[in-house]
Amino acid sequence: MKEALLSDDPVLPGEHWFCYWKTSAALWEGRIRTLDTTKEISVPVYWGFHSEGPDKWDFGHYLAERDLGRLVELFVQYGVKFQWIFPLTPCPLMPNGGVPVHAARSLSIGPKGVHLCSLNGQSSLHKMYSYFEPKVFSAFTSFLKSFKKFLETLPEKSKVVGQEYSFTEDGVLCSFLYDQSFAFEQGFGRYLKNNGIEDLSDPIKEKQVRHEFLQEVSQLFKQTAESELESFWKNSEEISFLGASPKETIQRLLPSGKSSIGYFIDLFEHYLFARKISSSLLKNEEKKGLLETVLNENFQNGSGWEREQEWEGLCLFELYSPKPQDFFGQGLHQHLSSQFRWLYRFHHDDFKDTDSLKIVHSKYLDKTTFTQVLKGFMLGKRVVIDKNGLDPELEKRLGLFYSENNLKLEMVRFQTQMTLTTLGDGKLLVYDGSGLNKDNYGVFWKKVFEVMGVTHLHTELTEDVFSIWKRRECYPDELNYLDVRRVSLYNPTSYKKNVKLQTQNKFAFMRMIDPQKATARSTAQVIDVELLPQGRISLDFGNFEELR
Amino acid sequence: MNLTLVYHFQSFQNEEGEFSPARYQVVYCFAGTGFIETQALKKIAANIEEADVSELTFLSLDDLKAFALLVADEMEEDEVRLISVQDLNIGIDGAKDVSTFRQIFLGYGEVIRGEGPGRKKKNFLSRFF
Repeated sequence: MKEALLSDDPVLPGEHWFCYWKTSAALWEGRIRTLDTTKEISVPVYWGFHSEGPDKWDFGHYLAERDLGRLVELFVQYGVKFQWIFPLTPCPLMPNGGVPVHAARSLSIGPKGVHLCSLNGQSSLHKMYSYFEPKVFSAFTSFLKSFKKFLETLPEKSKVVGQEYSFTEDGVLCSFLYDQSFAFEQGFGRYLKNNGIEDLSDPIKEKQVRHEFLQEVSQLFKQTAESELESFWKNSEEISFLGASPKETIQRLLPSGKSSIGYFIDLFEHYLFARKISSSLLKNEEKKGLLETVLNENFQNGSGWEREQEWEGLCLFELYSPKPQDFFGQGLHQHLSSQFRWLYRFHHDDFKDTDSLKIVHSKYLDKTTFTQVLKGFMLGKRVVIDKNGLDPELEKRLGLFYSENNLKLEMVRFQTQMTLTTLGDGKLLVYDGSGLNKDNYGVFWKKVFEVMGVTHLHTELTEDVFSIWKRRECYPDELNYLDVRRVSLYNPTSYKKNVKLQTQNKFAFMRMIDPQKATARSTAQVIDVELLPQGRISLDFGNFEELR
Repeated sequence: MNLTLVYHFQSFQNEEGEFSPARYQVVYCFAGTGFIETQALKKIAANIEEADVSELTFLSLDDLKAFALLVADEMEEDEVRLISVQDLNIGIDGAKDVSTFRQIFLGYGEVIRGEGPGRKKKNFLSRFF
């Protein structure tokens, strides 16, 4: 019998996490024997659990449940691939947020003044202790040194992934590192003194400096872990916990609980921002039903975009800006949300090497990112840049780029001035966002996507129906197509919902998969789907047109 | 669980050592059926003079209580429990699990009831008399 991916099991609470401290070491073998060896297991390191006092760490000498060496032996014996995950912020899955008792001095205080705490799947309340307490950093460093020595004793080299944890409350993302306790204030005072900052009478400036301090401390923990664990370090990533905010903690104890649709909204918000999620705090009764289905089908490793076997998330657009709100003023987000819902994602960091149409806000561009963007175009990517607000220096560089590469420019006037240039597969469209007609944003974006060669089915979804698109390469017997696209539709509401998909002569309806409380009817170029409450269905389409 | 309102009391001090007005900000408001929509709360807050509706902030505890009773009226609840963030944090400090966490909302803070003659009654007999 293989592991249940989403269960009430405290050892395997979700997303292939193996919480060794949640059961007796004597029972580890029985659990590991049942694991699916095709999946990689993630083992969160509950570092506070290994504390035997300040600077004294135990890996099995005193307590069998801390014997990570034996745990590794069992993984090897049963052919289970694994990686360690190491918390770089307080972790809501662990008592005290993972902080050892001797260093847990100040409870973290969240943005609304409430102590940060989360309920886990076994109804225990885990309180987060401040990482701004100097003893925590000292213990953190001490543990890392000890953990490294332990890793060096293992016969095979294992990988460590650093994780930073966050929650969302009322749509706002907040790190579990966030704090405004006395420990934070003390550290902040020292930071101000060391940086010679005296005048903080402007509340906006104060907020900004506090944020900078938080970022600096976040980097400190990350860089310390990375440098201490050196060759074992794989990468770091951010994980957003479902149901972990102070508000949700209260919500989850109310008789009404948090609704399934509430979790769907959060989940798909994380999906749009390409964030990895963890559902490991939720009880089985909270996950059961359609939420469990959508998690099992799309978020097995926490990310809905990652390739799972042959299928990968279909992302038609990538939006680059420091803040997603930057795009709200030009109707882009609204247009995508209505015409291409959940087929786009926001980025604020590195320019990705993907085939999606990249839409870049001028606020995203500095010398480095500008070079990355132009390089992307030279390598055949399709890029749209709003030059409104672009640094004059970068605008000059753009002109030089055109002339140095002898690029043929096509000037187009459609609502605003646009410059289109092509190079091989690459397309670069530069427009001036200040000239757009606010009553006709939709028309403008439709034209832009047409020019840039975006092809997809037209989908009419009502507000509360959620969908995830995936694509895969064709099988040998599907050579008529360029790729195959699958949409999975979910209706978490208590009402019947309808969805209409139009193939527009560019897609062929191939099959429906696993309909549950749902039906699909195909007529000429239109597929009508009816989803009953808690219904789901997947539909496959062959793509006749070129993907890009 | 009864109607509960969690608020944050803050007293600001400016550079010259003068205090700006104290403020009582609504942090959470919920009943057993779930959280009350912020928009609905803002609509009710508009009935309180000098309230900062967008921030759901009141200048005095009396104003906050008046607001809480209006919410109770709207929700057809007889009483409302007011818990300060400070009290909630003391409760969290001592809580271990869902049961002790729930106790905070059953025992901490102050329960207020409306006393006005126009106050709605929702007990069983009041439907007939």
